[in-house]
Amino acid sequence: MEKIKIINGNKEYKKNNEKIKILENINLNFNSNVFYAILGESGIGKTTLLNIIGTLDNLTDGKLFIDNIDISTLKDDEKAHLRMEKIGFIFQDFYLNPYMTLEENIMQPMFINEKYNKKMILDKTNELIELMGLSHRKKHFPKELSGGEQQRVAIARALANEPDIILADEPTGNLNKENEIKIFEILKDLSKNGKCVITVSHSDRVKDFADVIFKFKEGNIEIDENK
Amino acid sequence: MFKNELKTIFRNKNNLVYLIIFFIIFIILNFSFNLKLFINKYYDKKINKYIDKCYEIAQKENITTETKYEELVRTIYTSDGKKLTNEQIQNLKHLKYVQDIKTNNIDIPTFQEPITVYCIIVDDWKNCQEIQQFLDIQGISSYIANIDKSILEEYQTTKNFTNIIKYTLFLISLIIFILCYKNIIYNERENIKLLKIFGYRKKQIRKIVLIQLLTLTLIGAITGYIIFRILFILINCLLKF
Repeated sequence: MEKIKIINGNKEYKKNNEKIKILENINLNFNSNVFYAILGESGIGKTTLLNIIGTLDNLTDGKLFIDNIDISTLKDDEKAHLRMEKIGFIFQDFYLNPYMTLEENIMQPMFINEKYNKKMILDKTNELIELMGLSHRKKHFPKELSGGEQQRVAIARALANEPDIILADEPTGNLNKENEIKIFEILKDLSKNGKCVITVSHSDRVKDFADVIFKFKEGNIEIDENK
Repeated sequence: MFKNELKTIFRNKNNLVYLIIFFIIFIILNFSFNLKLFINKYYDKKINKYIDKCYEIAQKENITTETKYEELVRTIYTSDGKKLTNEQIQNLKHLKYVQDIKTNNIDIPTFQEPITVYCIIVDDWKNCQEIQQFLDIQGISSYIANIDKSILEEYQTTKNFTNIIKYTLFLISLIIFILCYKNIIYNERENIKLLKIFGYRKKQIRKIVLIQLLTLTLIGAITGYIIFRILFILINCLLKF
């Protein structure tokens, strides 16, 4: 099932009165049940693309559809609601609130979800903590967790509102090999369970897990045929 | 939603600094807004001491010349030497502004009986005239002792100066508050960004930040007020001695 569609997507920035093109006439489709990996060198716009798909940034030109909704027609608050409902984010630096415990971090996105009441939030949090194998760390703060554990908390948090799309920006950038494999396995499982998982990565190890690999080159994206 | 966010502001040790700044500001603000009260109490004590001292000297030396008494403040003197009845004295004591009545019997050789002068001490020199009018109605002739002008001038200047201090401190506090709020919001930028990513609406984020700031301010205000009250009691006790 088609989840995300970019038609003739362009993105450019202005720096010192000079236009810098990041994306040039990009046409992409992302479907459910697929684990996508976007590979490419640093600073060529992979994160910008992820931010655009995550409705945190806009295309300069072109259209982005999520579940057939034209994002350019949405107001800021509507975009926020769509993000809450449909998109989960995972970051390289985990981006956990250092003053919240593991369970409070996971709960945070659920407080604005009208479909959850207090009890449901607690149940869902416990379910996610268990899923990530972190039950013994429930009351711990991020600084008391290892890198791998922190990233699992971030994944649990991304899954809190049961989104269909998971966007992961270098999710294993700060992890060792063992934890990297663990995280990619989790992401792979999520895609098998119906999620559309898109990850940006430097690591070649992602190729072992991803179903589709895109290569980023000078504003254009090509499918890696070797996969 | 707010419970968790509030917990974070208490767990964040950086906020302790702002909390201390807020409660110091509130102590200063409380002082500046009550400065007039302190000044009044101080001068009241100063003037009262002065009156007592003059009265003491006058009694000791039995000096009743007007020149000595002219220096006294917020005091009215009966001038016809007649003795007041107990009822009249009680009536005077119960008057709104009257603080004390002191009796002074003066022996004058040419007089067969000593004459009696009553010193009626009024709470404020401004109210002396009203009491004097009452004495006129009662048929008691009197005159108002003049205040020591240097004390009055000093008192008036200090009083005017307190207004300048009050508003200056208020303005400085306001600037410090704005700077602190700006810094707190700046320190919270990562969390704000995160909330935006989760899909919190602008209004919800604003509400969270506002509640965090208000909580810090309120705790600072309450702590500041309690400490100010304690200091206020202590200063009052010190002024009594």
